[in-house]
Amino acid sequence: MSEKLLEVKDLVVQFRTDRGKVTAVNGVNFELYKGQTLGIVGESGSGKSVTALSVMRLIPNPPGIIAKGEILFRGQNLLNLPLDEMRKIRGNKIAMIFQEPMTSLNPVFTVGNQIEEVFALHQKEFSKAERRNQGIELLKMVGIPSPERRFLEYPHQMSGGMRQRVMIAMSLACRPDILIADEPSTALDVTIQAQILELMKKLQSELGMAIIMITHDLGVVAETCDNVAVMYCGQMVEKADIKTVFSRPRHPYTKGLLESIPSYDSTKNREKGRLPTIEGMVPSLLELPTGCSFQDRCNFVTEDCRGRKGTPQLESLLQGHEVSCFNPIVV
Amino acid sequence: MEQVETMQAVAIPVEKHKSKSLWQHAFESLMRDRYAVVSMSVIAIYAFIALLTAFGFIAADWAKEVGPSYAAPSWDYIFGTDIFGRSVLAKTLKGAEVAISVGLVTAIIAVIIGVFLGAIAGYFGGKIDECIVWFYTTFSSIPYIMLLVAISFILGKGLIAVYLALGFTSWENLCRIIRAEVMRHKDREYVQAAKALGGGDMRRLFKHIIPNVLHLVIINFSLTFQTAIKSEVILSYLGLGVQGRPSWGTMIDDAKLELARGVWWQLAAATAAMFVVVLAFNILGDALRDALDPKLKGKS
Repeated sequence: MSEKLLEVKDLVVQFRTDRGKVTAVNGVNFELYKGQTLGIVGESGSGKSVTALSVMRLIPNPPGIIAKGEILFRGQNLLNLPLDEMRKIRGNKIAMIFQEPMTSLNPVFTVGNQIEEVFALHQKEFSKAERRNQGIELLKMVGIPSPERRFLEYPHQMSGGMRQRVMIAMSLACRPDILIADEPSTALDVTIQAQILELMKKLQSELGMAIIMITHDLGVVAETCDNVAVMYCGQMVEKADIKTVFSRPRHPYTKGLLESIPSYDSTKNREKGRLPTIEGMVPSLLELPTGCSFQDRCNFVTEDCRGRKGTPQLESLLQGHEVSCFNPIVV
Repeated sequence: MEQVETMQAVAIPVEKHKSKSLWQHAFESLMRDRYAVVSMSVIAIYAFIALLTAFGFIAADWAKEVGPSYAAPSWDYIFGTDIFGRSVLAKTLKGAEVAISVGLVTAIIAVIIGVFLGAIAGYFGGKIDECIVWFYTTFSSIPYIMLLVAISFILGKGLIAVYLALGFTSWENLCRIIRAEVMRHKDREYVQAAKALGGGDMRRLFKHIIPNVLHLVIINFSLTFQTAIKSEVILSYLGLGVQGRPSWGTMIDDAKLELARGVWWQLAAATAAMFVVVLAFNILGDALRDALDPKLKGKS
């Protein structure tokens, strides 16, 4: 097995609100190896973005705090690092791209200017000409046509896909070990989405970085990831390699998610041609039920799930397939 | 889509291609606004006159007696003469020097204080914000003229005192605006992105956020400028302004006694001079807002 880059242990992130403390991430564990892509899937508010932001230590504080846990990057706990040390890691060793390419670039500077800034932050020995050349090289690498010209343009002169390419270029400027992509394709239209994901895959094989892909789109996961972690209400409910999750999901939530993907093949498991959905609503993080958070929406709920056995924890079932459920689906 | 862009790229030679920044776009739309161009020209002429008088090219001999006391406007004395027989035209021109310098220095002081306090209050929030908000609300609750009078008394009379008094009393509005804008911008994705790339607080605030709120500073600069010109007149009228050199305020002050005798030209000259420049600044301020505020873009 290749080198372990990142290990998150028992991460708990809380936000203070007017109505009490909200635990957005509750005891998350995962590992990331070199060259691997880990997908973190979940619906809005499941804590996937908060998990990613915690790795960068970008949780706005106040109101958020990382209450517990360790984030080990190459064995070093990022949560204990002084802030200026952490800044040297951000953008340099661990980089991040955001969901909104339209607003992630500063509107008043040229694209080139912003790429050069990354070098100014992390590669201080670069001369002006080097920064420029490297910047243009990066734009070429992410597939922007006539990079010399685009280098001098402002964000408003580019389309969303172009800007996301620029964001990727910026995040890869220092050849990071880990790239965190927080819904990188959500704000783009479908063809551009595919291009961006293709580009990320290509760059990953060229540069060998690990990617944490945060998304709510199982299609994106299927296309890009090696491993998947499914999150629900701040907890990881199922974790396995991609094939296992798609072919033999064990957690009822994962199964529900997979079943609610629209398909052309409507005869398969579909009654009256209607798309199955997961009944009910995500519970408020302020009033989580005791026991399993998914109990009210689950078809397989038992008394165990309602708190008799406590909260379910991730348990390994088969080689690397972990599920947190008292009553996992039998396949 | 990308093919089209590639084709364009071929069509335009790289050397000739120069992208326009938002500033350049704003400048162009400002140049298309006829009123803005006229008012800028007016301001430029005033500034030019102020420079010429400052270096003694014109109106250097404003103190010289050129004719009888209180001569009415005529071909010999275009704006008439004052009590000592000095040319009112020369005094008015010389007054432009005081007006422009007061406007400029006041606006600079106000911008420095306002932007700095507003930016750190908005960006850091918490205790710092509370202190600054407390400071400027307290400050602005004191009646403006009273504060001006008090500061001028402390600093004594003279031009420096006027600069400081007006500068120290004109920053709250800008501070409030900048604070609110910085608060709005600090959670924007591009600032987050800058943080994720390893940028520190100062870099994010001054390199990334400030350029994005600079348009408000420019608009406010022009408005502070003209308010300061008016305030200088009030200060001088109250006898707290400039001494020993003509300003529009002192001219209007003199006119208090003259009007009863039917001598209106000193008042008229000073008021007209002030009216034109203040109007020009107001029009320019509006035009700047139209040109610089993206939310108003596209509306004619």
